[in-house]
Amino acid sequence: MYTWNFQYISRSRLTDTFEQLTLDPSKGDILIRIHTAIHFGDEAVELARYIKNIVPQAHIFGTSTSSVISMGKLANNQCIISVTQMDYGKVRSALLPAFDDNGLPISAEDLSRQVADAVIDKDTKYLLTFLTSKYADVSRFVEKCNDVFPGVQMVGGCANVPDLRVQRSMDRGFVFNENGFSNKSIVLAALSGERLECLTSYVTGAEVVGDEMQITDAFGRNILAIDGDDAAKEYTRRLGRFLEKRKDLAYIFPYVYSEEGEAPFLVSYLDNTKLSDLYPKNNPEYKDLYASHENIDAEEECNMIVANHNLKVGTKIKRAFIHDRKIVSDNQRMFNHIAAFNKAETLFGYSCITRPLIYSNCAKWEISIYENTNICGCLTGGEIFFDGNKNVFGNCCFIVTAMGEADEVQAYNPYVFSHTEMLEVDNEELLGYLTAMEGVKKDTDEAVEEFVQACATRLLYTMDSGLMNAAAMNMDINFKGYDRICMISVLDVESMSTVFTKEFIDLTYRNYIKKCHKYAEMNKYNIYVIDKWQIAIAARSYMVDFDVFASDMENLQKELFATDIDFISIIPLFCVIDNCTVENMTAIYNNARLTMMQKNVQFFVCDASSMHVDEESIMNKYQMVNVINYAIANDKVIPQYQGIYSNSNRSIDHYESLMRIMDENGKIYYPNSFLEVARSFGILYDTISVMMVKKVFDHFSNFKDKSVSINLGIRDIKNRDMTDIIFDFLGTTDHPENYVFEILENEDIADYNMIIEFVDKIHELGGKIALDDFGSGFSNLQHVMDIHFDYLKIDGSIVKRCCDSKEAENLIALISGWKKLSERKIDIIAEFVENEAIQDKMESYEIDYSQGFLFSKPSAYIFD
Amino acid sequence: MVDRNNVKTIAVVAGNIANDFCRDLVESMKNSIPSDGSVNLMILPGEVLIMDEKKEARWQFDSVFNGIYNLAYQCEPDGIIFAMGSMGWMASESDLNRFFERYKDIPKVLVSSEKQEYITVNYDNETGIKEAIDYLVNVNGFTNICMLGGDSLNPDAEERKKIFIKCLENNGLPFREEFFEPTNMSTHTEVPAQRLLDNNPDVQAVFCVNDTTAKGLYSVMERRGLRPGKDILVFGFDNTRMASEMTPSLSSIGPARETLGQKALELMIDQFEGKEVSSVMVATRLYGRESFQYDVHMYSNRELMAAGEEFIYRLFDDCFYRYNSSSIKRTAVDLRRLYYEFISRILKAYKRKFMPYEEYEEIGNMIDVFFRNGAMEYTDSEKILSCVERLQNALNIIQKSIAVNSLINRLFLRMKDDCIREICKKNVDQRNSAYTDLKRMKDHLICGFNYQNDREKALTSYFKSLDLVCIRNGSLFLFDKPVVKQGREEIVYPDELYMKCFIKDGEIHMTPQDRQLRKTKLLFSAIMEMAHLECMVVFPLVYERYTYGLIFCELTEKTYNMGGFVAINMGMTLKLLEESQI
Repeated sequence: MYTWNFQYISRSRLTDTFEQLTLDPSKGDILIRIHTAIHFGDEAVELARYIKNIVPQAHIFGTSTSSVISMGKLANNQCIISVTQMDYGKVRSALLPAFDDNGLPISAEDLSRQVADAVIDKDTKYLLTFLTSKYADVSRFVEKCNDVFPGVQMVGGCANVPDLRVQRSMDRGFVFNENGFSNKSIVLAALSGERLECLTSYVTGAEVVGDEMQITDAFGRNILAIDGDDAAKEYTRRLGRFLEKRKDLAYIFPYVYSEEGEAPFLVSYLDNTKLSDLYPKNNPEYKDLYASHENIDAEEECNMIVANHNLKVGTKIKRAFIHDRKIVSDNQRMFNHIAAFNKAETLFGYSCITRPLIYSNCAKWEISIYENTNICGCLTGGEIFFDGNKNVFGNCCFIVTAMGEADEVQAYNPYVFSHTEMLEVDNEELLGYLTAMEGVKKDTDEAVEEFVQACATRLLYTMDSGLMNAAAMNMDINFKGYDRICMISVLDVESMSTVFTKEFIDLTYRNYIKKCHKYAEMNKYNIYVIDKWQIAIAARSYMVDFDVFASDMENLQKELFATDIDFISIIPLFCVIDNCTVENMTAIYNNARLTMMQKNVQFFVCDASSMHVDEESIMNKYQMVNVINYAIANDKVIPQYQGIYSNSNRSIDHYESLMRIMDENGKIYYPNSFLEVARSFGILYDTISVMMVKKVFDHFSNFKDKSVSINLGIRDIKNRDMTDIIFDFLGTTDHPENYVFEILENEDIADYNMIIEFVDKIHELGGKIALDDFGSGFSNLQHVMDIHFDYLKIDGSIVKRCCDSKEAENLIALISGWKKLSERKIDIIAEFVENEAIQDKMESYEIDYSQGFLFSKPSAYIFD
Repeated sequence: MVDRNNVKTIAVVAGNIANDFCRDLVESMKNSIPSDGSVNLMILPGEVLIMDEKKEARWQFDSVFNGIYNLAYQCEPDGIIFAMGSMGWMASESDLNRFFERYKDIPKVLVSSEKQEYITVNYDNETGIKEAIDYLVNVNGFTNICMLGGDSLNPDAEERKKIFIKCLENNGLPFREEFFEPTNMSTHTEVPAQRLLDNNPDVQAVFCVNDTTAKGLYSVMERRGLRPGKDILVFGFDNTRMASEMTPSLSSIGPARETLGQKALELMIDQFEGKEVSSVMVATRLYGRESFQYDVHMYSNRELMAAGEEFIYRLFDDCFYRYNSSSIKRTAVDLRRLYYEFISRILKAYKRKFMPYEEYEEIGNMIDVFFRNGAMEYTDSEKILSCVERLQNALNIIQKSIAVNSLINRLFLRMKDDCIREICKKNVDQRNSAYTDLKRMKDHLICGFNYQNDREKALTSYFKSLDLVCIRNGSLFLFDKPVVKQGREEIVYPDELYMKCFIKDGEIHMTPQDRQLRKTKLLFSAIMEMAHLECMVVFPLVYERYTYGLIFCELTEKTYNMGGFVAINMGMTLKLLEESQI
């Protein structure tokens, strides 16, 4: 057996494709499935005929659909053609009417017999069956089939068409083959053969809760009464009146047949609807229905719950809800079945039309497990499938059949199971429901509470550790007053995996979680697993003093730090927040993390209510960005020059260039207001800095006997553009000795060699280097030794105080003394020389240059 | 993050903080300091040693008034709160005007003052008194109601008397002079109390102008075999802690919601923020205790069954009446919410006739947490026991389910047990600490007598023993030379003073000789920054006419009671040390 799938593009492509396929009807029968979401009925029949012309021996099985499944993806607006060439087995196909000449449905019993007569052989193993939703008695039909031809695995469902409204898309679905199409027929393809083996498995994702109930009254597809109570009332009573506002939620809460392998069936909740609208009285189809309910008032507007097929009185049902973890575990189970099946030559996949509606990501995700296989199928409205014992009808299922005549294993994609994050997003609806229910808990009765509780216990815990998850935390913050939260995260987890084995990391992770869990439990705190390696511990402000909580967390951190040879040492970051709400939490946490990073602390305590994001400073920052941008665009980066007085020559020949920028109003900004902002947007800094240097070069190239200092940051030295400009200029100017580059000493100099390289290059070209702000920060004297500075600038903060403080004066004396001892020629410059008294001191210590308001104020011009 | 440059320092000119009224006032101000740390409080308590003759008291008062209060002026605070309470009236009008004139440029708030031209915070005396008198007349049918009043010069006392008379007359009871007896408003009120009882043998209820005054009445009644609350109903004013600690506990009129201190600080901060403020009256109500059984509201079974949020919070506010008025540290356990949680769970279980065992355990745990976190601070034993009793009785009238009721009763029992345990623990703690304090005080005093020939040495060893007294955080300053006061004139402190030592978390650090000098002007903010405290109190080290220095301490239970005593003792010892050198 072999299967090809391809998308229908055009007839000529189709011809080409079939030519390439070496189909050999003599070897075995050929089944061609067509699932189309782009053709009307007559077009589809045309297509079928066309194919039949190319491959006259093929059995054609066609249905309409809303989306097709092909290559592990769900695709809209496509028509998929799947060609299966059997090697040994037989295919029989048929398109039978499901309604008689009077327009009445053929009884389930008769239909099943007709099906048996048409296609079932003694060695038939597999029956692909598609109906349309017009035939409401499908559930009974499947049941009868079990009796008439037991042991045949059925797979199929009801055809639908693309339409956003589910009900309409169901009504207009049709089945077809080369002989015609119909919305009142059944299309069949039976596969048989001695060597053929099939395995069908299914996924629901529905978690059953509560006790078994019984349908005690039904009217066609409507459930009228459950356990003797009005069914609509029962439904809302259990789910809460909230449902009346959000009818779409009903999809998350299907019923399941408790007797039949728990196949779920969805119900819709309709309010203020008349039975006569759903079942027109003049329609002969419903004659029997009304006959059996003589007393019913079909004109009364009432709330009702409706399934998509006729329901039998006496059916045992249970309540259920669909959630991600169950989806994952069901899929895992199904995958295990399919992957273990060793004759998987061909995969058929059918999913329910409601699945992408409930959980859009879920349908995509679960199909992607079979991405690299030859799976092909479509979305259906309601599914017929073999549940392991017998065939059943349900909906909201995803069905996969693997079949083959010889050994074959497909390339599955189990990797998908470790990426389930997208499913959690799907849970939002359900969480929204739970949250809303918590909120109105006061006026609901116990039945609802029980149900909510049941949902919550399954929904609010993480899969691997069994601890509560982020959703649970949000609910606890909202409703249980857990407003003191400690976020714990571990730094640099990624780098761990480069050195350690996965097992070792996992072991460490489990130990980390275990320690936190134990500690939290011991102290009666709640613990949540937010993400891998990220944990939150929460306390209630009405139970625990915040200071106690914070100190407990500190102890936990110590405990986690405690190194143990069996595990990798981890660095957990703790951020303890008071007054958390769901709204402020993320912002505050991110803010806190930023602060922690800046300050390099691993433990941080803050109060959400008083820690507001400083809007004003953010606003100022962006205003400043505008100013800088303006200055760049309009050439408003302005150098100013402050003269430096030579204490030996008693004159000013040297200047320091200082950067200013101007806004459109002519306002001048000083570096302390814009430099930091510019730095945080690195490219802005580079631009203004280069502009500044160019201007200074430009300005001073006119002078022979005036020299200038230019401030450079480490970023500038790293900037190739900048260094190229500097080197080019120095290499071409006549007086390179007039240019002094001041390197800020207090900047964190990480790449030390780079600076030495820069300094050497400047010296080589004849320029000079000064060390700026010496004495501010914690000076690294090694730099002073290793980097060959020509000038050393004493930080203004020391100079300013030299008259008041003996200590400051001593420092200046020390620097002066060091200069004398040094074999290198170094000139000392004192900044902030503001008055005569300071100048006298400087002279007394033989400081070479003085800079300050006493001699010169920064100005755009240079005065002689 | 607190910007240290923006922290405002408020000087609080207060009365004797060992006095219950003043202490509650200061305490409620301290508790209302905003959490962002933008405000600091420096308390300047004035202490008047009680003299029998008024003239002497005046002189004493002047020395306090011109002494410690002048510090507020010299230290240039950002705002000033006058909370002199019962001693403000002793100052003459001109004194006060001169005093206020100095602070004309900074925001001011006056507590319990009649001065119309300033922002004031006063009790609305009428609401509480009217509530009490109306109840006595209309419900109990009393006709003989008397008042133990205050000095006619004290405006507050005078107003309360007027309202008392008005309330009687409104109820059709003409006032007669013998119904009233003035006192000095201290605990020494036996004589006027005796007179009052002699003049009114049929008295049914007595209104005491403040809680302290009731002390004398209590002892007179005890001698005559009369029991307050049974033979004569007694109620005071101010609802101080003392009222609940008397036996039998004293009913008292106090602030209904916010306290004077809270409001005063609020007004001050509003002024800092440039808001328009006006004077405020703080509503009062009667807090019933043994001496006058009175409940603000009754509750019906229907209310109990509904277990509404509002209802449970009302129960809490009624029982833990001090909680609302003393603003609570924001990081502390939210007792109000906790109370709501466990009471609502109990009521819910009662309604549902089902309490799972885990729930029982959890509620029990909550009750323990509740009491362990100082719930008893906000009520008195009498009040809580009667509240629990009432709730328990109400729930037991209809036994919806015997099993649940027995669990609920066990929970109520647990409440009572916890309450008793807390009281016992507090008593034992108090006794133990009082004993150790006494012992350490003695050791400290002995250190002061340990004269050595070297004055500096002697002083150092004396200061080193400061950790023996009750100050855990604070610092000690001496002047270069003692400031000597002449007659009634003001003390002017020198511009500079010397920090001899500071105490941080109970550990004493002596300041090296060359780093002791401090500027008086910057003292308040500097010292609070150093101690990392938001509220401190300063006492002068005085002996007779001499002021030797200042001691700043953290405001704790012990400093309220002992701070002034320690300071006086130090002043004395310093004097002795000085004398011994001559």
